[in-house]
Amino acid sequence: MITIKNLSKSYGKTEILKNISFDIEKNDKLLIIGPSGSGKTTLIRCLNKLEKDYQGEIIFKKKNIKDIKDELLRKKIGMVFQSYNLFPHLTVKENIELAPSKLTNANKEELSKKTLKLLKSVNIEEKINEYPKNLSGGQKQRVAISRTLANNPEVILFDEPTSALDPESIKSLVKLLNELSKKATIIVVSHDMSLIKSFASKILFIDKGKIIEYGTKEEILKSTNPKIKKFLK
Amino acid sequence: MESFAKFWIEVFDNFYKTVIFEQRYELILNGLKNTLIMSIGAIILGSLLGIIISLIKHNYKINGKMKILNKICNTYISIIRGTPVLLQLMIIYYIIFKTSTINPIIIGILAFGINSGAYSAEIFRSGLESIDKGQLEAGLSLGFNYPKTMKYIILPQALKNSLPSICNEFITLIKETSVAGYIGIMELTKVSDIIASKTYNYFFPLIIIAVIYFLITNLLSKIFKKVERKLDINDNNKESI
Repeated sequence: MITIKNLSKSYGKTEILKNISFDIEKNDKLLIIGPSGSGKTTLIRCLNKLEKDYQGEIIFKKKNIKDIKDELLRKKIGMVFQSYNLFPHLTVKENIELAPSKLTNANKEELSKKTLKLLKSVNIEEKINEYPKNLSGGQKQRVAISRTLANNPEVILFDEPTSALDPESIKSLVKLLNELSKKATIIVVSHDMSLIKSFASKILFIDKGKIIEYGTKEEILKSTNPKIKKFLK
Repeated sequence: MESFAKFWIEVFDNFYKTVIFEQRYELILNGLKNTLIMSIGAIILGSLLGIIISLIKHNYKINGKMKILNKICNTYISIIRGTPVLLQLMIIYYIIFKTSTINPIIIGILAFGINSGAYSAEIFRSGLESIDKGQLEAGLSLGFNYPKTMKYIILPQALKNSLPSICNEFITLIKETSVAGYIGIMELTKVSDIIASKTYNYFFPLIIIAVIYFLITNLLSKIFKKVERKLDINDNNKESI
């Protein structure tokens, strides 16, 4: 579904990603792990063109993403940000419906039904008319996920989704991620080791902008690479 | 007791001479009308210029686009902020529109609007910059292009953040129109000068006009505070999301 070929990215003289190549299959549950500053977030930002100035190629459904219109690609490859980035001047309903209402011809009634369905699927339908400031971290994240889902993306990128959650919220997030993976390809950037067992089908381990290992969960857990062993401890 | 009565008789006499005699209240009302027309026109023009310029500067900062326009905007802001408004008014009236028969009030609107545009641009720019970069990225990642992200996501928040400073700018602008008498516009301050020259008493005309300015600016300030409070009930931009 996505092929990354020789991807390199620098900020000034600092190389963030160094010649990265790998494939992502449809409905993969890919976990990208690695120490802080290893280039994980930059990698997924390249996937939906929030970072454009890179070398190499990213192919999405047989097309170089540089040839796909930004707006179209970003509807297909959605992103849930680490700090959620909800729009504070809009209610939960308005946050979710903003993109579909302004970018498609969907009618109001259909949109309202879909929003309610999405919020029910993440168990926060009672917050539909609240403003983001009245939500907890976990609730904000669920709204952010619903907002991304409202575009019917084929791939969803999650940037450090567990970083601000308590253990209970992490459990329900993992459940949600596993459910979402039935409809879309899920790519999660995290350094939360618990996601390896509870979520991932494939794992990409990167360090200092280079792929250290890429494979199925079982392959990574059996890896003899000292860096991975140290990280998994 | 006699001196107290004398004092009040003198006050009423002066008030009569300033406001009632020869229907001078008509002069004051006409001055008020001209001041309001000029102020409102300049506020609209200045705000439009300010928003457009701030968007050009923001676009250049974020996307690196509109380089030449950004330079022109910077030059405009530097020149306007670096010269007195009275001088700008006189240049527009005596030099640019020297041969024109255009109504001086329109020239006043142009001069004060162009002046206010530079200050408003900086206020709106800082409002735009006060919005977290993540908001722009969230808009883009949902499939909005840059102009639509600005329209639906960034501008509504930035304008709200700019309200207190823009209210200050509008108040300053209203008071600055008091120099428009230099190009012959019959605005409030000029009217007070004319009445004083007839009554040979500056105290009453000046105090009456000062009270009128105070009431206008105070009303504006109260309206802005009400709008701010109303927006605060709905959301709170300072909240970290």
